[in-house]
Parts: sequence; C-alpha cells; structure tokens
Amino acid sequence: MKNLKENVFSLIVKLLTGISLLLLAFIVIFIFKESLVFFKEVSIFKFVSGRTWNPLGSPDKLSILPIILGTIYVSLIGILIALPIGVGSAVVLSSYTNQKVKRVARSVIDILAGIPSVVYGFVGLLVLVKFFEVKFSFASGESVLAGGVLLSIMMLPFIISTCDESMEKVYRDYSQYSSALGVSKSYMIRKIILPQSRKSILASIVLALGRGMGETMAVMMVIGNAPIMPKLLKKCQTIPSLIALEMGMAEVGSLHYHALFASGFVLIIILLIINTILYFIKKNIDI
Amino acid sequence: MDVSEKVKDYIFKIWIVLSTLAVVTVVVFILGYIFKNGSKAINMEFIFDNPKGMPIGSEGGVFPAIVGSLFLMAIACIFASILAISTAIYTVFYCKSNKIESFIHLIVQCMAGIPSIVLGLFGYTLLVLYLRLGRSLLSAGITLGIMIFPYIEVRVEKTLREVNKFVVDSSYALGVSTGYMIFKLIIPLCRTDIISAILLAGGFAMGASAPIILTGAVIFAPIPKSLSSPVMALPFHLYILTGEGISLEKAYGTALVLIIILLLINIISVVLNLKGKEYR
Amino acid sequence: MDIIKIKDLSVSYGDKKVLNNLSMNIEKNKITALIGPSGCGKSTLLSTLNLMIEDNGGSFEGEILFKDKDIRSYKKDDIRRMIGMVFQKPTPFPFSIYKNLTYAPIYYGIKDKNKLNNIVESTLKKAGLYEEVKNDLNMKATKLSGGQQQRLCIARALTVGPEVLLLDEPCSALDAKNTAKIEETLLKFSKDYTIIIVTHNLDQAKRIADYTFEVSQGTVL
Repeated sequence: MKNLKENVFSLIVKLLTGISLLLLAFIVIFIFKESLVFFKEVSIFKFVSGRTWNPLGSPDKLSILPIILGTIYVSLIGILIALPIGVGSAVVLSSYTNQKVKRVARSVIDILAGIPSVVYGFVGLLVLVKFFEVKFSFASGESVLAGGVLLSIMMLPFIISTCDESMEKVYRDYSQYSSALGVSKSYMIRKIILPQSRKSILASIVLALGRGMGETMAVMMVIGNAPIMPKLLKKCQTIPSLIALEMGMAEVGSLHYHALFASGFVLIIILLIINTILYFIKKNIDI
Repeated sequence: MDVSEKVKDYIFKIWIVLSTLAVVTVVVFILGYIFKNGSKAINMEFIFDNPKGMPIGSEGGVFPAIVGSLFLMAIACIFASILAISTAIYTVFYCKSNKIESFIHLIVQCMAGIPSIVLGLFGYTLLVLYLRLGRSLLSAGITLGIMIFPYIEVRVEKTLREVNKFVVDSSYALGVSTGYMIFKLIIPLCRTDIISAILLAGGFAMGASAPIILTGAVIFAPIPKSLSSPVMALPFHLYILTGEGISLEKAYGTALVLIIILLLINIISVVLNLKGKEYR
Repeated sequence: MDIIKIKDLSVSYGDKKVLNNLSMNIEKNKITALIGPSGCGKSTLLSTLNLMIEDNGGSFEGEILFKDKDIRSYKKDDIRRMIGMVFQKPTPFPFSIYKNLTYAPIYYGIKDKNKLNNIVESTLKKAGLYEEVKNDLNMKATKLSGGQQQRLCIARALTVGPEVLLLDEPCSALDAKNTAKIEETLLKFSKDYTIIIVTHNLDQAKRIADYTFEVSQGTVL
C-alpha cells in the first residue's frame, strides 16, 4: 500500500515536471510556427534589413530594421548609465555599510525592483519626458534618451543586488588578511573585490539587458512609438512596444498579424545571441 | 601611499559616492512622487466604487480593477505553484542525473528570459484563439502563471535544498519513502518560505501588463463572475487612463493603490520569512 | 632589548573581558611562544598588538609600548607595516603568486619593476618557498598545496618589511611534514625578526621558542 502511494506521488511529480518543461518547447514552437507563415511571404533577410514598417501598405513594407536598432539602442543607453552607478553603489553597500543599513537598503532595492513597469512608464512620461520638453525645449520629450534613462532606473536594482551579493562574500573572505598588511579598504576593493566581481558584473549585464530588451510598458510610454531609424533625441520604436501596440488592431491571420509574431521571434533570437556571447565571455574570464 | 595610487583612490571614492547618491535620490524621488500625488486621489470612494464618468474612468473608483487584479494573481499563483513546486521537488529529491538537472535549470532560466509580451502573444494565440477560451480571467491568469513559474521554481528549489542534509539522511535511514518524507517533513519545514515565494511572485504577476493586454484585460468590466469573463486590472487601467489621457488624478490614485497592495504583499512575505527562520 | 612591553593590559569585547591585567615583555629578534588552553585570549592578545582588535569590535586598556613608544601614538597603518600577522587559515589572495607578493608594496608606492622582483624573490626565499615556485610565479596562488599557501602567506607578511611577525597557530591546518618545514623557516629567519607565535602544541613551543609564556584565564602565568 505504501509503495503504491509513493509510486503515484512520484509519477505525478514527474508528470508535472515534464509538463513544465514542455511549456517552453510549446512556446518556442508556437511563435516559430506563426512566424513561419510570415517568412513564407517575406524573406527573413528583407524583414530584418528593410527600413520601412507600414502595415497598411503592400507586404513589402513590413521590415523592422529600425525597430531592431531601436530596441538595442534604448537598452544600450540603459546599461551604459546603470552599470557604473549600479556597481559603484554595490561597492558601498557590500563593503562600507553595517548590518542595519544593509538590511534597510536591500529592502528598498527590492521595493524598487518590484515597482511595476507600467508605473515606471507613468512616472517617466510625466516627469522625464516633461523634463526634456521643458528644460531642453524639445518639441517632444519622447525619445530614445527618455527610454534609456527610464530603463537604467529599472535595471539598477538587478545590477546592485547581483553585484552586492558576490562582493560581500569576497569582502568577508579577504578583508582581515588585507588589513593585516596595513592596506586601506579602498585599495583592497580596487585590487581584489572589483577584479573578483567581474563574473557577477557580467551576469548582471546579461540580466539587465535581458530585462531591458524585453521591457514593454515603461519603454512604450516614453519613446514615442515611431518606427523610424533611432536617433538619441528622436522618437523610436522597440519590438515589444510594437507588438503590444499593434496586436490588438491586426486582423487575426493577416500578414500584419504574422509579422508581429515574426518580430517576437526575432527578439527571442537577439536575446539568445546576446546570452550566448556573454556566456562565452564568462567562460574566458575563468580561464 | 604614493601619488598615482592616491589619485586612483580619490577617483574611486568620488565614483562610489556619486553612485550611491544617485541611487538614493532616484528612490526617494520616485516613491515620494507617487505617494504625494496619489494620496490626493485616494479615498473610500476611490477604492470601493466602480469607474464612472465619460469617458469611463474619469470619475468613480477602481474597485473592479482591484478585484480583477487579485483574481488574476490567484489564478496565476495556483497554476504556477503546481508546476513549479513539482519541478522543484523532482529536481531536488528525485533527479538522479546531473545532466538532467542542468537541463532543467537551463529550461527554467530560458523561460525566465522570455519577454512578457511574447508570452502575451503565446497566450493570445493558444488560449484565447485556439482553445477558444476568449479574453478571460482564465487565459490571462494562465499566461501570467507561465510568466511567474520560473521565479517560484527557483526560490522553492533553493528552499528545499537548504533543508539540513542530516534531516534528510536521517529520514532515509528510517526507511521512509521519499514522498512521505516530503509531505510530512520537508513541506512543513519549508512551508512559510514557499508561501512567501509564491506571494512575491504573485505580486510580480499583479504588476504585469504586457501578458494580459491581449489575453483578458479590458477597459471596463464588472467584477468577474466566472473564469471566462474578462477582467479589469490595475496596471492596465493605469495604462488606459494615462495613454488615453482620461484623468491624471485618477491615474495617480491607481498607481498608488497598486503600489500599496504590492508593498503589503511584500511586507507579508518578509514577515513570513522571519517567522520561518524562527522554526529553524 | 625588549621591543614590546605590555603592562596591565585588559582587553574586552563589549562587556566580556578576555584579558585581565596582563603584563609581559617581548624580546627583540627572539621567538616567543604563547601557549595555553583554547579561548583564553592568546589570539586576542595578538590582534591587540597589531590593533586589529578595534576593527573587530573590541577595546583595550593598559599600556603597550612598541619600541618604547605608546602603541597608540603610531598610525594604525604604520603599526601594521611594522607588526605583521599570519593567520591560522592559509588564505592567499585570488591571484598569482607574484601578485600576492606585490599587493602591499605597490600600495606603499613601490613601482620599480626591479625592486618589486627583488621583494618577491627575497621574501619567497625567506619563507623557504622560492625553490619550489621560482618558475611558476604567475601561477594562481590557490593552486598551491596547503603548506605552500601558508608559506606564501608568511612571505606576503614579510613583503612590507615588518620588525615583528605575529603568527596565530599557523600550523594547525597543516600536516606534520609541512609543520616541520614552517618551523624550520621560522628558525632560519628568527635572527632578523621578532616572532610571536601562538600555538596549541607544547612540543612545537619547545622545539622553536626562546621564551614561552602560558596565557590562561586572561593573564600570563
């Protein structure tokens, strides 16, 4: 009897695990299938290198190069801003604060990470975009820059908490040996902690880039949604925003509809490429 | 220290101080901004009333959105926990091969990397269209569940692994089956941590808009009567109020309500975590 | 000559008093061993001497004279340069042997490649490790064996040119063969350095120490 119960239980567990794993396959296959319908009409090469996105025109006008570039550009700006600030703060958090401050600070960072992206977009629209319009007299504050700055704020918690965790460990491992040599804390951080943190800094870049490029709502609300070649101070469009905006109005089964799937597919491929590149860089750092 | 080291040291110190200041400023500003502006809009009527006015939402409250969000969170959590806890149990207690374990970790990681809008696309096509579930609580809930599945799995797996090895070994030494041990020993030990993980993931689901735009969220709907009715959700409501320029004041209020609910979830989860630690 | 003179030293962590009215003198360029039961303050005494006690949340009262001057009149970093410490657990920094040994000298401003090479070579020789690693100085220090790592830590402590070397049970994590090697090393350079070694091992004290003090219940017997 006991054996039966155990067998049933373990069977259920294995089954559910299998379903979970199949989910991923399902998702990928689905997206791919729906994209394939599009790629039969328009070659993938034309899709990613053409410059015009006009769903109301003829099929040739469905290309997403500017949108791919917009996606990458906005995330890049985000990382460029967030990385130095995030790593610097992580240094302070891990090595210069006491336990009480650490607990408070880490909770605050968790709160920041938990703010929904639509709220960020909301604040970004009212504050950031308006700021650009007022202070710098742009015709419209909606721009790549606005998206980048907003994304950097959203990336900060991930970068800080990833780096902080590993930096604290390194600090605990070596601080007494270093201070016995009469060397200052900042020297130890520069010579031991920072170099040792390269792996986690890289990991946080992967995390942040992944988040940034998949980010929909916040970015969508501040970049202006214009599918043109991106310039820092002009409007642009990203793949997630494109999908979110146009999915509702695309007729099911139309070419436009499948083109949106194709964009999603391209996005996944880009993320895969970035992850792979960074995986290999990580491997090389070890050796 | 000599001069060039001193210069490098100085630059280093300026860098970290500025970074910390930047972060602190941003945090204070964002939270302060929302609280300050949002508190004007919040009152009993706002929380418990239906949206009214023309265009809808410019007056009245957000009650159906609050309820809708809570329901969505519940469905997502149920769906995701069943799958995630099973996967975690399998990986920690039943999986014998390292290769399979790494494979599972890889899959879970990949799922966490799928952009939420792509999940929305998937949910739209599979659940809303193919399976004819339509724009409903169920479709949106399941889509959200897929999104939070990796987060729950990773956390639960970590909790299960942290159980003292001696406890597990003693149980095996008594000849007790794995399933019995999990039910009677492990789960009770980890109960609060698991619940806390599910809650946190639920909070994450509640704040997400992209997966539900296509699968269930609508601009106006009454409190959902069944799994197949469409719902209102706070984040989507906020988006509509802003995007369509309906009411700035109500938008602030919506944002604040959403954040307060999330904060509450966070606090409950932390309290649970602390309670859990007492038992170990 | 007594390089360190301690009078009525009391050390406490918060409310807990670990050392009570301890007085002793350490003679220059000799090996002094501190023995006694565990937890009676031997390590605490060491960490007071290089002022690490305060970093760890403790405090001390009483008089400690280093080279006839109050120890508190020196700057903390200078004390650490003059009084070096080797810990129980061999912990090389996570880089190459060479970098481990140039870490502190570079901080103190030594940039000339030749000078640095000299320091590396001479400290490795003193620690009895040079012959074993001279062709592999760029190897990651963590790849060394436990005994070699500890000798590296001794060499590292010597790179700042201290006058006193504090060793806190340096051999407790090592096997007999490595322990013998380290004892041999200490004996070899003891003419140039004042050595204070905390040890559990009475035989070790007998083998290498010129003076032995027993620290028990917070004071010297």
